[in-house]
Amino acid sequence: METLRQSMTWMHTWTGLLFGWMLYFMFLTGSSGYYDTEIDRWMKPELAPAVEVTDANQVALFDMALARAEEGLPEADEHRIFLPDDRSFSPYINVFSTKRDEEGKISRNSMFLLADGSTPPETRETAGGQRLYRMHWTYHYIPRFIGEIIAGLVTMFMFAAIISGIITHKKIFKDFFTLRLGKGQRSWLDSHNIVSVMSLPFQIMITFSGLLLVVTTFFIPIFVAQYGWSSDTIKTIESEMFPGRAKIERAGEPAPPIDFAAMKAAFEAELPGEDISYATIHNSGDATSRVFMAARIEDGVLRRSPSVGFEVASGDVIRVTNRNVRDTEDVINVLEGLHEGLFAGPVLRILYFVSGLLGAAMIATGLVLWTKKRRQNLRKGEAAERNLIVIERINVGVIAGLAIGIAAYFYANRLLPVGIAGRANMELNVLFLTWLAMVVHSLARPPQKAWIEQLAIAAAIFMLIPVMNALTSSIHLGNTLPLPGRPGDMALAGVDLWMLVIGAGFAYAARIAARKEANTRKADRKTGKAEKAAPAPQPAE
Amino acid sequence: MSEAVIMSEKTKAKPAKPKKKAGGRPPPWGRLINATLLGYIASALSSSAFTSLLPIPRAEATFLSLLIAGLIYVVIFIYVFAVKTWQKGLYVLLALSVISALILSVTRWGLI
Repeated sequence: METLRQSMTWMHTWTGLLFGWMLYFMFLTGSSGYYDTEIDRWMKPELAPAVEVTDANQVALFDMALARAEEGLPEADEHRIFLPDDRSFSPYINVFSTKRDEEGKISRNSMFLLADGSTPPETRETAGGQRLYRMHWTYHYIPRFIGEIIAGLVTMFMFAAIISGIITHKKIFKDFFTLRLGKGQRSWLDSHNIVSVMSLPFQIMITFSGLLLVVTTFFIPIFVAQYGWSSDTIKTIESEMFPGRAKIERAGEPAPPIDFAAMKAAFEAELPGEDISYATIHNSGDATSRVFMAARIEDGVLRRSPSVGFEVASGDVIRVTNRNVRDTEDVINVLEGLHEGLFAGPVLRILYFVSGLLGAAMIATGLVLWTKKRRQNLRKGEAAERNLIVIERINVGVIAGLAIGIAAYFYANRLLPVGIAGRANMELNVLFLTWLAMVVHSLARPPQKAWIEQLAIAAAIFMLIPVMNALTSSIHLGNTLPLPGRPGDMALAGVDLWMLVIGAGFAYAARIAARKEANTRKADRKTGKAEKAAPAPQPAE
Repeated sequence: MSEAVIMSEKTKAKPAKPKKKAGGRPPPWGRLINATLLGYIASALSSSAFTSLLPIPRAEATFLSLLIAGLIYVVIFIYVFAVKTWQKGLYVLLALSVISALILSVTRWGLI
């Protein structure tokens, strides 16, 4: 009878194979998310200096932004005003307004503002770091809802593959210290084990928390199970689960002007040591108006911002939320916070990024291992099945080709004409078309040659990104690297430096692949010579 | 049996293991579908049913269900692959879904 380990090996192999390519895409694009803000800035070289927020000008900035928000969308249900901080996705003040009319139609208005209320100079339209990392669960070309369902399902398979992988491993600790190079399938298995075990806690955390990020879409049946299904279900869910988000109807009577200075003082008294990062204003100008002032999300692993809510008419504090873990929702928030790593400083951010890449490497080595194992099991002279040949070739295009596509995305950002319409989408189209071209190339070439060629292309294209950056903008390493007497800008320099490191990694991989190809050819030649030199068998008398 | 014969039997090379078929075992489609679809429904219903029995507010129970549903789903996945036949997995998941639905009909839906 089949043992549990055998069943799990079977499950690990097939779940890994069926969803491996998709998981590789999710890990690689998702890892870029740890530097989304830096990539955003790199992709907008025209950005003006950030709005400076101080204790003295904070209240004036909120007043100005609220006035501009009211001009943009009068009588909105909600204005959200974000002041910039270190890793904001924009260095300006961001204003988002929404209004839902009686028919349920939602109007939105958003704007960026400088400290004097003017709009900042136009930057090039770009998909930036945000859309690059958002692709890992929205997949760009499909509706977001469907993307989240697919992401949830694929994440479940990943989770199952990790657990079954652990059960499969008899000697998980010993495997961690074993790497036998130049041994074909055995070397691939060792590499797969090492990258998997090295980042195992990260992989478990990132997979389970990733599932929780899409859980409200993925597990919609839970809401139906708990609340039943009627025309009022959504309203009931909103009012019970997210009491702060429920819409309050306007009374139609005017309210006194919002006193941000008094609210700031009350905020600091209620939450000492916290800085105000953003404010949400409900029903501005109406007697029912409420203001919620919140601190930075990035300061703690718990994604909940501590906030203080005020009733504008009376000026009373109506709610205080601090960072303490209170209930299950906060457990989910902590796991989601761990997934996004917004709280991470520079060193931890590097670890997050490297662990993400190790996850991608784990999947890539697993995919290659699958094909190597089947090749090894072929009897002498037996031809490989067509499925095996196709998977072997597509592996090259997916693994090396996606990296090349991502590099091409950075080139598109600099080389596409700045004024063209739909530029952001074009950048993303360049990514996917390059990737497709690499898959076609891998199908047309013998796998070993395709590996060498694509790894070499990836090495060259990544290492040339800083050069291309220097030729097309002023935010190149010559200006951004910190030097004695010059602070530089490590966020921007870091993007160029990472490109060099990644390029060097691909160059090393290309060298290994080329050496292996040369050895195989040498061995084939030797075998050929030996066969020629061997005396022909004598016929039996 | 003479010693020479015993020795020759002992030293005789083991017969070579037949090589596995290149494709290995076929993809487990029945189990995959079981785990994916029925496992999804069963995990959503059972997590909701379990939390509906706890003395906590409904909103809190919903968050708890969302938190544990993924874990239950993984356990179901492993079970479906570990069980001897895919049909057995199917019956167990159907039973789990029905029992959970019965609990929810009492605790949440007011049907019984």
